[in-house]
Amino acid sequence: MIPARLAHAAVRVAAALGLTAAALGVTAAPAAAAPQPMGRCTTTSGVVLAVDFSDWGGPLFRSCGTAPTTGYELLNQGGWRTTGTGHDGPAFICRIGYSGYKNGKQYPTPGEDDCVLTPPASAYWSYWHADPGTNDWQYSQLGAMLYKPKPGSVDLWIFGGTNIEGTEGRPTVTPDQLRAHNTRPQGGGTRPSSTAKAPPLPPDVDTGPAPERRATTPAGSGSPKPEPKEPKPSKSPTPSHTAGPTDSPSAQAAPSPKTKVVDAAPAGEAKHDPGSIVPVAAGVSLVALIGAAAAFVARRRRRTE
Amino acid sequence: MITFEQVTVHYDDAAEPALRDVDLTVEEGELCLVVGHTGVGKSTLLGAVNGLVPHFTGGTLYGRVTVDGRDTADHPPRELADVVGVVGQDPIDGFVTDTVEEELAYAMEQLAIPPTTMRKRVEETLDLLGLAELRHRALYELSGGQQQRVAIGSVLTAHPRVLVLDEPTSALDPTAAEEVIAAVTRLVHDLGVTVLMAEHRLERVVQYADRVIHLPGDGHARIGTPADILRTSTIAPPIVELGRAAGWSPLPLSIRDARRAAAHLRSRLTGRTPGPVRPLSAQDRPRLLAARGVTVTYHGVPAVREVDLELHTGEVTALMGRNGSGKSSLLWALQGTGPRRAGTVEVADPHRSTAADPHTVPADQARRLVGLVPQTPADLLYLESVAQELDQADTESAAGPGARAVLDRLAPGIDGATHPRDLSEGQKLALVLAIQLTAAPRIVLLDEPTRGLDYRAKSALIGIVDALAADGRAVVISTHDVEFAARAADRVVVMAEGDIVADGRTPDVIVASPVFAPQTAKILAPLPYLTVGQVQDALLPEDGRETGP
Amino acid sequence: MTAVARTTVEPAAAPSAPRPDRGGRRLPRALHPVAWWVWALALATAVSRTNNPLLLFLVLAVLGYVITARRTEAPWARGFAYYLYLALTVVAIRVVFRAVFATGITPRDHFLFSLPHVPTPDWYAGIRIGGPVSLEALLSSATDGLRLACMLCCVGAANTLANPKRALRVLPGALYELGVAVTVAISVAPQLVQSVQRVARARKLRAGRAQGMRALRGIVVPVLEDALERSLRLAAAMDSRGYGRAGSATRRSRRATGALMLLGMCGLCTGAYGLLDATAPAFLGIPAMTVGAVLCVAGLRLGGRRVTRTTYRPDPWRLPEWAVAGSGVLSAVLLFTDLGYDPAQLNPTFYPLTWPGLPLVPTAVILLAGTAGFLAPPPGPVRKADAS
Repeated sequence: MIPARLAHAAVRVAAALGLTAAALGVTAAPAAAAPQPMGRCTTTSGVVLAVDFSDWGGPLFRSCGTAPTTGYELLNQGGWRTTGTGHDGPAFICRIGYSGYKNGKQYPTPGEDDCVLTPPASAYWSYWHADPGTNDWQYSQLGAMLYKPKPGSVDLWIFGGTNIEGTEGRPTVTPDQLRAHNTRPQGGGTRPSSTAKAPPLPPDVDTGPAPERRATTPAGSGSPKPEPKEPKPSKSPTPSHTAGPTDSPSAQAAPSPKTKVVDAAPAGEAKHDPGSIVPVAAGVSLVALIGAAAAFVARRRRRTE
Repeated sequence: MITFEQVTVHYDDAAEPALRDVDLTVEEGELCLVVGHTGVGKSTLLGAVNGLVPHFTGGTLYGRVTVDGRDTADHPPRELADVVGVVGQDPIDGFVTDTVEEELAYAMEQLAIPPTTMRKRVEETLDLLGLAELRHRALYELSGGQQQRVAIGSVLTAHPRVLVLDEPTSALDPTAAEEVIAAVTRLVHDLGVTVLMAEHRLERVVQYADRVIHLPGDGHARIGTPADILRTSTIAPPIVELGRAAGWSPLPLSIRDARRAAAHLRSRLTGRTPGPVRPLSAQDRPRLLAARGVTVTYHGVPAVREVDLELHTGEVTALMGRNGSGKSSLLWALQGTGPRRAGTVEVADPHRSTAADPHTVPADQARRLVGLVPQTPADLLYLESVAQELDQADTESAAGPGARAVLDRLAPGIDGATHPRDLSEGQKLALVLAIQLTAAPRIVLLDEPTRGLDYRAKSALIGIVDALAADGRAVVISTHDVEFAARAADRVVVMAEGDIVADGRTPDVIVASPVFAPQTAKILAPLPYLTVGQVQDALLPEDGRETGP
Repeated sequence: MTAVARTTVEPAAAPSAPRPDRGGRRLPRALHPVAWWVWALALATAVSRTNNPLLLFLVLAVLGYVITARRTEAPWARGFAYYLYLALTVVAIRVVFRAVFATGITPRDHFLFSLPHVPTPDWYAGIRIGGPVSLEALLSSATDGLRLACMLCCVGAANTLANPKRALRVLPGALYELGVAVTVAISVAPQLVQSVQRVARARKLRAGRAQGMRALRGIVVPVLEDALERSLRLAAAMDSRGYGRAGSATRRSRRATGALMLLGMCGLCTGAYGLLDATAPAFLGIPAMTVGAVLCVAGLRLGGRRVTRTTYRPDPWRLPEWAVAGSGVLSAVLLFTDLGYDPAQLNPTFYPLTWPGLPLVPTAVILLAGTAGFLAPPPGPVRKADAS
């Protein structure tokens, strides 16, 4: 059992380290991938990204990105953001956050997992694919930076434990519940956009061309309320897409009874606070103070010897 | 206290028993000396006292050994630890802990003595052996004499009734040996401890012995008073030989007694010039080596300070001085292998007309200039048999005499199939010397060759050294053994703290010194006699005159 | 001796300025080695929790202070500098590895430089060698290495502050043999080094031109023979001094000891597994651990009964020992309870670049561990080699 666990962890790390060509690709052609409103994804174009926040009482978000792209890019555009581990760097997806949910708070929280070492096999973001036309999830054998989803496929991130074969802890939703069923891009100018409420993108944020924003909000009765004082990426009146059949094709699919599926529109980044230099200065002076005390003690010892 | 009843010890791989039908009793409070040549079973006898023989060494012990009523057959050494304390030749090998205080307590911890008693006994032992100043010191940084005293103290704390000492002073310089012997005699006199001690250099201890066990070499043992045993034994210190030569009875064992007995002898010898110890050779002997300002330092601590030294052909030089005075460092620096911080060494190169510095030439050339036998000759031996070592020496040297021929001259009769490890100390020395001589160096340096040699082996070594000098080589021997130096050396160099403090003809240097004077010189002072041989020579013609007419 | 004399003279020399009470009524003595080990290991545990460079540097400073204030002058107490070198090496290796075995660069990262990229075959696509290196990657690998280095320094501090041999003496009686073996090995190692040096030097006298295996043999054979003979003499000496005297052990009690120890160890392993693997059933965790520990203690007690031995000048365990060990344990516990601070501050991320914060409670907790520098009694007076 223990060897199996170790092997599992090793494979996950190896997969995570497979940032490889993807990483270079990102730097080489950063503008290739772009976030899109959900309606722009069709059965043959674009990639659907789905992230399940149900472990924290949230919905299952899905959003759309253009292909070609990588799993990592999909997760880091249009308001999505991830954090790696201290040990393996950004390639190992340890936390996922969406600026439209809880103000961009990333999950699992630092209290739940410090994201220093590889997270335990019982509680981590597992990565699943469903190729176009299939209704079966496949456990990803590659890391997010390495995997290039096909147009029309679905990428799913669920939190929890799986075994190395991906036979346990499989997703409860089916790919058909999440995938785009329209054959032609929809939306675009058809929906009122809420760009006014969305935060402006920082100029250096590399999310590709500014997408057309169509905001959705997980403002269901069970979902936590967005904090009012912060600029929210979305203020759509649509409470939940399960209830709005016209909203997107996804509504046609019956979601699993437990999980709400919410379309997440491309949104601006949650604002990043670079922090203050004051604690650093305080820390450095504290260290210097103790160092001086040590030097003083050392001198006194040498004198008395 | 100790009784041997019909004891025979037979080691499994030996043809003859090491001890045969030994019957003896050592009474309580005696200082009993075990004497005999190397390999006659001294260590076996001592080991049998606390059961190391045969419990630890193997072999079979017939008969009965009892110590304080306990039979060693039923009690392994650890169960006798409270009765018998054993101190070996090299104290550092027996240390289990790393500071003086903890080493003193170790045996008591094993015996489960209550902590309060332990504390008290450690303090008492520190005072008894004069170790109080050293109590927190690390064992490895102590001098040899201090280490040996700690080793004695570490068995004393268990309050044994018997102390067994196996050559406790063989590695020590004369002063350190005095320290240890003084400590032992104090234990005998003040505490009534029974001491059984083996010692090669009888001149150091024989005066304190109550009885002597003599092992003549056939496995039997004889016990008796020192005067009785030494009158006839093949092993005798110079004082006894002098007594025998002069016909004193009872045989004096201390310098004081001998001087009293020697009053008549001194008056007989007054006015005669003693013959030379060694044949005088030509005065203007060619110089082989000239060292100027040789300085050696280890981590900035000077071991040899700006020493000037010249060596001449056919001259045997004894290098003396206490442990750590820089003797070894000087020898290694002269040979060129050891470090040298400053100074020059010039060796007349027999192959060329110029002088060479052994420090700057390659190692194989340096050994053709100067040969050195280190303190532990076995360090140079690594093959399975004597013959292999000699062959290897021949291939290493390429030229020069065959190693086998040299060895046969130095120590005839060593079987080529013997494993070098099974050779006696003297034979190992001869083998290594032979290996070094295959390179035909004209200067031979011997670092403490007398360590662990008995009287017979020392006499053999003197023969070897004489032969080397007769070949025109210059020989330097570092040694603590004044009796050996008196007999073997033309010249004595005394070092202290890295300096040469005395350099001159042997009689001039060692007669004047209270520490370095040999026993004969002490007894016959102010007459300039050094060895018993000289006295015998001086007496011979007189006896001839007396008996002649 | 001069050291003692001078300390007593000093107050008299400067009577006008009242000097700070140096240790007060506490007599100088060595703290129980186990207290130092508990303190240091607890601090190491606390360090394992955080990746915050400010806190890590604070731990290093605290270690430095306590060592300067409370180490003795013994040889083992001069080794902390080597642990610092080792720590630096760890950080350097960590940074180099992260740069060479690149873990990916995202478009948001601050690109620093690019290493030549070594192509790897497709089936080995998981590992990438070379490529672009970002500031974020270097910083996060440096802090990651620093954390490891800090834990290393904690162990180094324990070794510096406590005599390793005395620490071994507190082993339970049943494990006494193990302690002796380690002690002897520690003292034999320097002798072996000396022996090798001596033989290597002697080899030159023979001008052995042999290379490779033959030359090695010329050194190894005499050294091993020397070591073997020495160990035989040591064994004989230990035997004659009462080492391994039989106690009241019977065959049955020895078997019982073995069985108890074996079962206890199994329990401890199962417990550790249960605690570390979140998917394991609950009864495998704490309960198995407890049962294992109880069995082990029982085995050690039973085994210890057959050993009849006393200890010379046993180290006392008094208030300062409780205080030092307690300050360490308390800091570890506080750092694991997330009380009064945001756990995110313990592990600040460098993606995106953020100044690390200085959370109040963890800072205070580390300073609390630093009070060991006052809580421990001052070390004994310096004893220099008086002869030299």
